[in-house]
Amino acid sequence: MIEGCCSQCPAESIGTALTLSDAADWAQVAIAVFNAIFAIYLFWFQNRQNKEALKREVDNTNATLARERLFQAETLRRENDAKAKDIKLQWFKELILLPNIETFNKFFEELNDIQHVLITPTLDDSQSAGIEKLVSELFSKFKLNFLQPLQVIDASNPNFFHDIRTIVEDLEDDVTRLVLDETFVLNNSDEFYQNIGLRISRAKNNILIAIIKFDN
Amino acid sequence: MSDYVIHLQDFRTEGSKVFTGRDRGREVREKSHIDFAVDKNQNIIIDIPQDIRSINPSFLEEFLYNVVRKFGKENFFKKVKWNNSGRYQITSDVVEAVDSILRDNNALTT
Repeated sequence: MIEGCCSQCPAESIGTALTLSDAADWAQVAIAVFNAIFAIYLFWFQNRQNKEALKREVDNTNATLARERLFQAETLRRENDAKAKDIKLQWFKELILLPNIETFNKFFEELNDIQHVLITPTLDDSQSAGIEKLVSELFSKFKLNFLQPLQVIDASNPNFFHDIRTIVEDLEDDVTRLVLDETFVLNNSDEFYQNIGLRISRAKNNILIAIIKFDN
Repeated sequence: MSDYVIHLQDFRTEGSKVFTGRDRGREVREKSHIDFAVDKNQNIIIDIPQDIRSINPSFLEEFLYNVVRKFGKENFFKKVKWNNSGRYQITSDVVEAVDSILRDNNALTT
């Protein structure tokens, strides 16, 4: 039999009071533990938030820096390309174009002058052989002195040389064919101009256009 | 080994007295089978019609392109002969075409 603390408290009520006291103690322990865990969690959570915020900030800064560096590198590359292009253009002008301008103009003048050799309405064998030789020599000299130097810049601009060569060869074919064609009365200056002079002038313009449009 | 004769008359445009243009040169090269014949024959004889007045270098460049690249300048002139009874003198045009082919070849390989 369990004895009470006093005569008013029965033995059963003492057992119950101990239990409630224990429960209150346990509850306080639980609350303390929860508070401790929550405090740790809060600390951990806050720490993580801070780290993430810092990481985001660093990432943003790095991205901005990377973008800036990329932009600077791209700008530098463009500037270098432009400088290299300018240097190449200058070389093209100094080494190839300017020394051959006279050759270029003289060739077209001499080509137009063949109308003065065509003094009879039709050509006999000797005359046609002579005019063919004259035309052939004019083109041969022009190709050697003007066209051939253009070939050295072909590596950087594959179409440049070939475009101009095609213009020159087409003109040579046309002029050769026409001066030897007996159906034309080429000693007539109008007929010469309509059939040959216009082609010469067009070819000259097309070469000039190709040179002006030259982009290494 | 025998000689292989190419008669340019067979490839001539009716009434024309000139051979011009790269396209025509390429066409005659293929139709005349010069690239195959050059390996199987001792010499190639190219017969120029008597009344031809001109054969332009652009035509010759395409016509002779593979043969010149294969044999080089010196051997090309040993291997390929021209039969020309007319007034037209082809030598300077052939030399110009051969030089141009070899220049082209050098430009492509450097």
